[in-house]
Amino acid sequence: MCMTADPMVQGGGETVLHRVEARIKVVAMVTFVILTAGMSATPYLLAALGIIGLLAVIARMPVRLLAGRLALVVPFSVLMLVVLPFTVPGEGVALAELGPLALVATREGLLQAQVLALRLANGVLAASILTFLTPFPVLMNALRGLRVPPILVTLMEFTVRYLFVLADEARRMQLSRQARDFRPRGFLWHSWTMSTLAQMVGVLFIRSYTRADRVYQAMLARGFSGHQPVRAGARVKASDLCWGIGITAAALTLRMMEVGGGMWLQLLK
Amino acid sequence: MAAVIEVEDLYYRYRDGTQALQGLTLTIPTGARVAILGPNGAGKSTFLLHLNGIYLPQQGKVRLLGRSLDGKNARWAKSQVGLVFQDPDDQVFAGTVWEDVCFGPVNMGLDAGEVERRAGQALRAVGMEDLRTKAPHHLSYGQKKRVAIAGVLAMSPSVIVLDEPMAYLDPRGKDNLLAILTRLHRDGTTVVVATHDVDMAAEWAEKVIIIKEGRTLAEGSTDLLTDPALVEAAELRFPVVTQIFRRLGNMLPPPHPKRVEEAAQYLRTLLEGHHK
Ligand SMILES: Nc1ncnc2c1ncn2[C@@H]1O[C@H](COP(=O)(O)OP(=O)(O)O)[C@@H](O)[C@H]1O
Ligand SMILES: [Mg+2]
Repeated sequence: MCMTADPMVQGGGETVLHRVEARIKVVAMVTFVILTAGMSATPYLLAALGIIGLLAVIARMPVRLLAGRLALVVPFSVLMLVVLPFTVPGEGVALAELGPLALVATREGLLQAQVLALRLANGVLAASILTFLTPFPVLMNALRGLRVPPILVTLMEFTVRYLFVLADEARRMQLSRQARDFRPRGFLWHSWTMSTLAQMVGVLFIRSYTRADRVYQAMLARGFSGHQPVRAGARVKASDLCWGIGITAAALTLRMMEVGGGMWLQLLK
Repeated sequence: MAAVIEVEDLYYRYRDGTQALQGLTLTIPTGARVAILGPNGAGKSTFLLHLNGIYLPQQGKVRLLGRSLDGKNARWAKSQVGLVFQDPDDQVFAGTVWEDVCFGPVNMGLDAGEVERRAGQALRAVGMEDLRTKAPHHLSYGQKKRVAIAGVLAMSPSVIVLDEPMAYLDPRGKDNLLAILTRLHRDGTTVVVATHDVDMAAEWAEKVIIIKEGRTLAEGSTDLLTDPALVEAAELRFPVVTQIFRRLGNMLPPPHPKRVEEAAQYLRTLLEGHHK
């Protein structure tokens, strides 16, 4: 393999973080998410969020991109903030009256919603930093290098590749329906609308099915025999390890402090 | 000229009962430019899938370089015959152009250095070396088509087979593709094209094979394309150039030209005779 940076193994790098070896990035970020997802004290979760923010700054990740990803979790967080306070039993802090229904929001519920929202934000932001730092093909190759079952990686690759083809097909079908003056005229109660949409989904399904057949034939035609090899990863340098250990250690420290802090509070009682 | 592929009395029936090939017999000469012509549903695509062992003969024989194809030599057949599918989205599946072109050579078990060398060469041959890190879904249709061809070239087959290669390409894309095919042929590859585009066949092919309903109607030179009985029977039409000369009726006796260059030559002689 050529010794110059292979674009499939190592994405081009604008910042130090971009240049960290892909497998190290994956392991560090996944560990970070696992450790912080186990935390349940707001201050430590906020600190973890702070670390992520710091990484985003070092990676020169555009704020708009980060905010966009965060917006993805907003609906879930709102849902939790609406549901949990009223469903988790505990000390009541607010009352909502919906006609005959009186709902009590509890302090415990609010706290739980807040913790879940923070964990979610942590996970999503960590994942988006990872994908920002690592081009998709490089990421997939890194997963193969980390012995993730090849079938899973191949599945992910195919999903991304054919999502675009499928979306294109759906868009073309939608356009041609519009060209013949089809408008959705209601939801479940409108049978013409529903049967048209159902047929479209059916056709899309059959098309994907027959396409899968042709893709497989085309792969066989080029001698495919069931497995795809891993491209050798770039050599891991000391600086790569430093970054990996640094990120992991930060998460680990927060986790330890949280556990330790809890014990410390117990002692004070 | 020796034959690289010989097909004898080939039958193929799909699971749903469609009899796609019924006694196909034909010969593809080594190093030739061959066009397989036939209306939609004639069995062209089904036949092409037999050429490198994706489908095996249910009855009859397909001989490649003298060897009769069966389950045992199907892998070898894949390294000898490169198949370019009609829709490049079916063929170009990997995350990047480069990975896709490496796919075939890697399956052949070549070492990394050789894979790199071949992939690089194949991408250069289709003029796509600058887009090697691109994702296929960011490419134009014509570009995807060229990547599909590169993916097959990288396996260095002795025969390259293309299914409806001109479909959906813009004029520039068609010219590009013809130039690539011409270069391949010049370098010694046998090039087979399945199409219903009679103009392309007339311009480009040395040999045409006309099939219908899974049988061979005729094989021979491009003169077949101006044979009225045959064109009628095959549900094809005359090349545009030929149509013009036929319109002029008895003024210009057959054989009528079918290629642009031929027609120009024909007219030149005619005009020169007129001025004398
Ligand atoms: N997967 C399939 N299953 C059943 N019938 C098929 C399948 N593919 C093609 N056919 C049928 O086989 C016949 C030949 O098709 P094909 O080889 O695609 O023709 P061509 O490429 O010349 O248009 C047609 O009647 C077609 O409907
Ligand atoms: Mg076809």
